[in-house]
Amino acid sequence: MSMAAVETKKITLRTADNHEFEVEEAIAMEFSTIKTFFDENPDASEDTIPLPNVTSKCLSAIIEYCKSHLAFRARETSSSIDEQVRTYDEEFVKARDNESLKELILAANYLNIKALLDMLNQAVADRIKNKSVEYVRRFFGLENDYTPEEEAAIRAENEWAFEGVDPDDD
Amino acid sequence: MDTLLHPPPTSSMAKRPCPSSSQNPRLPSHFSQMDHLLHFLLSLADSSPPISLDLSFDRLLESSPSDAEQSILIDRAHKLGSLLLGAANRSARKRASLHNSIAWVLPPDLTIKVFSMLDSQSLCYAAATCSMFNKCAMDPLCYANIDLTTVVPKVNNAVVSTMIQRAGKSLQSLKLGIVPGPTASRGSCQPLVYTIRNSVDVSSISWNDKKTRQGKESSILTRSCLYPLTGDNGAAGTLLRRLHLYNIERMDNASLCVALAACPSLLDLEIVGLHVELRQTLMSVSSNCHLIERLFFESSKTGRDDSLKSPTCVDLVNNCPNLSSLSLRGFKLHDYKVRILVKGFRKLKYADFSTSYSITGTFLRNLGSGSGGNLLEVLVLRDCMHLKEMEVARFLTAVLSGDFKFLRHLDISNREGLASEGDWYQRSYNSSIIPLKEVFEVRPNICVLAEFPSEGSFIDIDHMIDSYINSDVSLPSQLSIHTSDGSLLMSSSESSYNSDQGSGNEEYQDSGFVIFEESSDEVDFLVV
Repeated sequence: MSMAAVETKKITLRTADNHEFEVEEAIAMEFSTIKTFFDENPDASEDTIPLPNVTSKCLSAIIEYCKSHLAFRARETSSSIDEQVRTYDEEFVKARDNESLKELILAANYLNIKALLDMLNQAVADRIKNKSVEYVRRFFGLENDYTPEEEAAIRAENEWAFEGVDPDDD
Repeated sequence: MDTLLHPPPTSSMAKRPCPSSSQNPRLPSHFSQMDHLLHFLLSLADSSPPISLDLSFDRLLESSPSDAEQSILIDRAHKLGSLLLGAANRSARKRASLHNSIAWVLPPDLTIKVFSMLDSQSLCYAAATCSMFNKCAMDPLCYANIDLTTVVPKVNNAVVSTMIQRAGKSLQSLKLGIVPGPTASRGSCQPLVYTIRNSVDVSSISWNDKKTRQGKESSILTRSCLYPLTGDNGAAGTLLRRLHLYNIERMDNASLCVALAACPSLLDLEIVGLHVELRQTLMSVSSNCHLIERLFFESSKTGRDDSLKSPTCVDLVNNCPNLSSLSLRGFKLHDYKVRILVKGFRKLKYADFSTSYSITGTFLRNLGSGSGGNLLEVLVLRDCMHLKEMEVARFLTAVLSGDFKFLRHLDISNREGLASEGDWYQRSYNSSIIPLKEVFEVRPNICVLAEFPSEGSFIDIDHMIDSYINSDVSLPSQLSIHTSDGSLLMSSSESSYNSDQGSGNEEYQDSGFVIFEESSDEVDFLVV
């Protein structure tokens, strides 16, 4: 059986729900946690790496992301590539609900994928930006645990931000 | 205590109509009598058939012997009610907090990272949602980039101070002041200078509203608004990289200089519409901000700030070698001073002297070949009243012959055309001596903006000037100019060009040019 000149090495990852994923080494190296692990244990590359903090749903999404971004980076940098990257990132987060975004953040944090983590954080921040207090609460399923006095104090402290805005405004 | 009921001493419920849910035989054994009583009482809240608590209360009141007794009863009902209410609210809040900590799965450090990407106003909103967010929103990282610019005055010194203090050593960028909202732009040189006079552009704010705001002391930034940068031995200012100040009416030279002295790491300084003198500000930058890479100044006194002196330019150039972007808009600048700057900053890539008075363009001569000036990528000279078409032509000829290899953007647009060779008030709107066509051919990657109003929509200025001269009126303190849409625009003397001395370069003209060429070596010598 003849192989291509360079055999792409595959790493096996096992998620919290016991699914196994085979990924190319290049992609696995995007996960700094794994990269560090291999740097310290060079002969462990044949073993299956357990990822107890990552679900299979998250991992497959993350693998997709890293694959696409690796492909983008392999091409020459230009403004149209940047545009495509931006569009890809937007699509990546657009359909996801808050819960899955947060799950992805935790997974990206655990796997230490800086670019993905920053992008996801920015996506959550964008969902919070320029929205009313009540909207943010409802959107993230948070409850108001202030006393009326505490809430009034906070609003007064930042009067400049709340001035002219209806508290119940959406 | 008046007894409404005799509470059963044991844990079994009395034989009263109670909802099945409170049929609770298994209350913990350590429950006190009070606990049992309360438990029972609470079950009355939604028992069925509904027990009319108020009827019982009325009967109690009726049966009490005196008026005083009745007041006491009512009083107790209030107290009891509010005790219960307080306890219930407290517990509800505790549960809300617990719910929040479960619903929001991100640990504090990741939440803080998200918050650090929020603008300052959204951060305040996040803090007001719940105590968990509030705690995260207090972290210094969230205040690394403070942007308190608003369309109308809303922010006072206290807000600035609080945020700077919260940022501590994490403070990297601070933007303050009044920035007019987006208006229909009339060209890239749209002034950011905002006074109540320009307020007609701020469409949604009523005039009365603005007047009351002017008097509203609590919403005004005073000259000591930057004082917190110096506090704590200047801890906050030490790592500050970017400082943008817009239209802070009360800022003065002294306070600004004190603030700049606290910011040795400043890389990007933008000052628009402040009543500060250019020379003093540049001297302060020169003494304190040696790492500066970008300077953007827009004058609040269009054309009347004449303070810049050559030694200031020399000092600036010597002390701030990293400057790559320089914008001085709306000042009275002389060519030889600008030349010191442009030649002296070895890394200069972006230069913008729009709306400058006095510069004619001679500073551009012989610039592209030697050191300094030849790295120029962007040159903006919009609406420079005294810019001569001859100098522009000379400059473009140099470009055609290979100088200014990195130039990619040139803007010489002018609402009133370029100055002709003779009198500056002879204007040229469609210059034939400027080799634009050749530039487009030979250097196609350069974007040249040369918007001059179309001829014919303007009064022939020659005729107008003649009539002025004949009537012995001093020259254009009032100039009638047709704007391109045909309406007559009378510019008042305040905003008109201070042209009584012409460009101010006259004394340097002709013979002056010769001297200038010779002395250019001297000027270079001063630059280290």
